[in-house]
Amino acid sequence: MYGWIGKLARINLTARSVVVEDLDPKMAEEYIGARGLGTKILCKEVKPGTDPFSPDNKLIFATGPLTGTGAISSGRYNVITKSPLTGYIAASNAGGYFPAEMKYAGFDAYIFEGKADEPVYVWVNNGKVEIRSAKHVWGKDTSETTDILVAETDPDAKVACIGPAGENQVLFSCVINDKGRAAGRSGVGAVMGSKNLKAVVVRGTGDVKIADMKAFREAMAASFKKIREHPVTSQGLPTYGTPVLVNVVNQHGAFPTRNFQTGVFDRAEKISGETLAETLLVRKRACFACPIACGRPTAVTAEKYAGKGEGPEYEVIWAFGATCDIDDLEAITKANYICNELGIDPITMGSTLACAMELYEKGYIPKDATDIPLKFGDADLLIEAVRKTAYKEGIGELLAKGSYRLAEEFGHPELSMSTKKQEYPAYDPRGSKGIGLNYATSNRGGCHVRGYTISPEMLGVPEKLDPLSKENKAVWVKAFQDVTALVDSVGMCLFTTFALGAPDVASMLEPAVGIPFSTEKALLAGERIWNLERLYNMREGLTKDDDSLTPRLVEEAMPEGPAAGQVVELAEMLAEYYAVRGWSDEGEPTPETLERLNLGKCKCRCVCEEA
Amino acid sequence: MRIRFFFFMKTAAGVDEVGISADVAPDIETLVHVLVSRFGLPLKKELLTESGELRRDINILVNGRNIEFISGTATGLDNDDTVSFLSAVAGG
Repeated sequence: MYGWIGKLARINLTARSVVVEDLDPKMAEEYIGARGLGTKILCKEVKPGTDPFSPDNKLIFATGPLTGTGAISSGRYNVITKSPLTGYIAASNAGGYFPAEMKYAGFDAYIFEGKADEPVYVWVNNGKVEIRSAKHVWGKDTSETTDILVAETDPDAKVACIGPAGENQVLFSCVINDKGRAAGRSGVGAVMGSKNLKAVVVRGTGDVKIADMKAFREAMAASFKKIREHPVTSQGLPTYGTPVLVNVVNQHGAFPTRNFQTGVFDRAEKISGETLAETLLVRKRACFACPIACGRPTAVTAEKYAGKGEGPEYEVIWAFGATCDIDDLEAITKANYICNELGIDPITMGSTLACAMELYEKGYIPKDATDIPLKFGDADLLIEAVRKTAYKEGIGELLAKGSYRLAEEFGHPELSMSTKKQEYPAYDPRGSKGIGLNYATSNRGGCHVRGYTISPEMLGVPEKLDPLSKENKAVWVKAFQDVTALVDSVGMCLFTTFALGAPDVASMLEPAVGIPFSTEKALLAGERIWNLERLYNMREGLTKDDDSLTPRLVEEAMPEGPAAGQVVELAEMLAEYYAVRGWSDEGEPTPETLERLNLGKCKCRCVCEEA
Repeated sequence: MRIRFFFFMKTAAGVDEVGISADVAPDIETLVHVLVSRFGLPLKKELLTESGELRRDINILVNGRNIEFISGTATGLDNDDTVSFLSAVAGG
């Protein structure tokens, strides 16, 4: 095969067996790779109703056909599994250098099955797969684990691993690769921990065959030119990284503050991207084949929070900042380092903490029910709370379940800012209506990188949309969701889409794999993947009622700022969205839609029977 | 009124904010010309195309609302307004 390696490694941790399988060319063409391929495998192989922590759940590391090819920002992979946080599909992706090495080591995807009887790691070296003891690194943080495993395998090996949070099955623990890149959301690290799988270490000297190198190079050059000429990808992101958004979103009055009680943070300047660049930034860092280089290694020298590491990104600055009413950038940065080391999703961590703070402030969490005061604005609390969560100590036992279960425990689930039990990121949809529809319909719960309508609604890319209008947002949300599914599945970074569109992706995909891929065919694949995720979720019990937002966003008017008086008119947008998607009024893909997407045999609730 | 510069705009202007009377700049179009006159070529490059049109890839907010959804460059200004000039940036 071209683009794809053509091989899958099936690794059964219970039996400690390894089977190498051929990648089905038809499946590859229809689901492309990474997110799409992993979703298809999960649907086929994991029975409905499987407990996410059961050995019967599978954990799939999957690359795309462009991963490792040298195409623009083609250093991505996805981790796909059934989420312990949401109970629905989890597909979390990350960049760095580990994903390309996965392919050079000989496989498009690694399917982890069963459960090891003791901690193990998997060492993949040029097609040879070994399951080795990881007892000596169990309990260690992600950086130390990486260093030890590189030292005992190959100096050029790349590592993806979990930290103590994943080992302890914190519901929002993540997988960290290359010391700081995270497959961050939906608790994929907890599933890895449930399998006693500490790490995956890969090394390879193979390559990815390109079907038509001349055409591929021409397509890459054309895309590279667009990246270099677009002000966002040539100047904005390289100069400021993602934290640039603090001021942008706050200026729009959609920067969630104090657990979404308002959208204006009056001390935003203290935690802005410009402040970060002037104080803590060490340098820029790029992932594999990425000319954008949005990575932000930082260092804190102040003794209290001293350390160094990756980030924080915009979302983290918000999660430990405005929504917790904290304006101490050094404390925020340190909390982010600890999340990376212990393997925790900082978005859900910060949002859960903010929820706990509101519950505490309102007296719903009694003072004697927590071993640490959960006060808004307490910067010192951040680090202690993250540690307690990772190790499930004291109040950390409850924080480790995420905000929905925490708020439910204390009788007020409405104070969890989440959909499908996964917390929203750093945009209040009362000030950006399209992102509200995207949150409600995202297949993995509250998430911005499933359909990033912030781009047209606040950034003016590719065109300016009124953030306070609900008009036509359904069309935009569907389009963004489908393109994102495509980009995630080919193995490219979503940030390329500020400058590139589906035609550019298709123009690189076709010569890479040697199969005709028109823009229409590529977008149809993205739509197919989105619908397959939907079918999977329906199979696991999802109904129309799950396409919702927390009451605060649809009932409580924004109290101040540019979005004052706004709520999200979700019901109207949702009805239009279902129609645009070709779904019934109950949110189920119609038979005609399934037929159009070649999902006709799936019959909605029986995806696994298709094979 | 309060004029705020962000990102490359701030670098080009050399200040993060400035006060300008609405008597001098009663609408966005006039304000842009006032700012270009005051801060010179670096800010002009950030605001205008070579042909002198307002750049499409920047965002100008009046009290947090993009002028695109008010009255564009004809958007009127008062002394208690805050006008924010944002360069083309993104994140996520």
